[in-house]
Amino acid sequence: MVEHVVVSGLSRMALQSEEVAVTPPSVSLFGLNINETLFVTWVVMLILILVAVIIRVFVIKKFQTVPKGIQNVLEMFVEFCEKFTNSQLGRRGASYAAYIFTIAVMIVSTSLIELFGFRPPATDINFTIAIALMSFVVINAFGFYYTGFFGRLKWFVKPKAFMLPVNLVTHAVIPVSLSFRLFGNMFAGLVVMDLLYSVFAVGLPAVLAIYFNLFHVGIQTYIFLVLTLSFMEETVMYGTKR
Amino acid sequence: MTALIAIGVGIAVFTGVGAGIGMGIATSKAAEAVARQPEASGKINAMLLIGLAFAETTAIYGFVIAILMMGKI
Repeated sequence: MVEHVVVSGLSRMALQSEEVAVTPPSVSLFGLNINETLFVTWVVMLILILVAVIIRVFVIKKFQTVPKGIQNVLEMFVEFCEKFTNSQLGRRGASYAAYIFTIAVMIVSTSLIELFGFRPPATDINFTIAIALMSFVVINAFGFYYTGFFGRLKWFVKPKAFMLPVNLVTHAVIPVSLSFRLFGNMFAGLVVMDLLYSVFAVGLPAVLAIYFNLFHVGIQTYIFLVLTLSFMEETVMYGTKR
Repeated sequence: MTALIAIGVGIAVFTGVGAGIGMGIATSKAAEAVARQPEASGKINAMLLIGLAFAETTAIYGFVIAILMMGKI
């Protein structure tokens, strides 16, 4: 009886020092209860759409053949993304550069929100599962488009017939591994930063924030995109139909 | 029951040991390769980062399981 009270009191004390839970707290919006991270995602989406509309309508009124100014910067981004996808996929990569750029902008901009005090959406397992499922659909669509329906099914038995269960399991684990890698790294960074903020208010958190909020985010985004592209490349490894 | 869950949480984080050893070996090989041929250091750097992210994944799986279990103490 006594040990039960002591142990439960200790565990509540241990959990009280960490206010970060796996499921984010819910806010109420027009009577619905939604997660805080979903609300932050919507706010970031709204800001990005407004910035895009303002740049397109007011700043670049007409695209010029010889670019200057902001159009130059935009063309630099587009060229960088196309070079990146072409280096992994060969000449087929140009149409997937837009998807890569969108995912990169989404993950980076929603993770920089942490500097303003909100909980970054990449620490919510729903966000990372959604992005990983989208990548899984794009990988399979790429395979189906370039090798045909039966060519895609034949891909699973390609080197030898006994590789079928190995290939199936590896392929089914793709969304799980992509989502958990991103979620685990972001959540670990959030827990460490939260524990640090409860001890130091200024000084040291700014130094570590460069590592956790800039470097980790960049590396994990790069890994996510490179893995998506290399899985896409793998599906057309044995020859394509077009 | 709480004690067993706590012991389970401790065992789940043990997956970091293998990841640490593997990543150390990979980095040492990368350093040797750059010492042999310094011009290829850009490609070796990129390959090292991808390999480290893969090797870290199993440690992250263990960490996520530990976090999920800690909520049930």
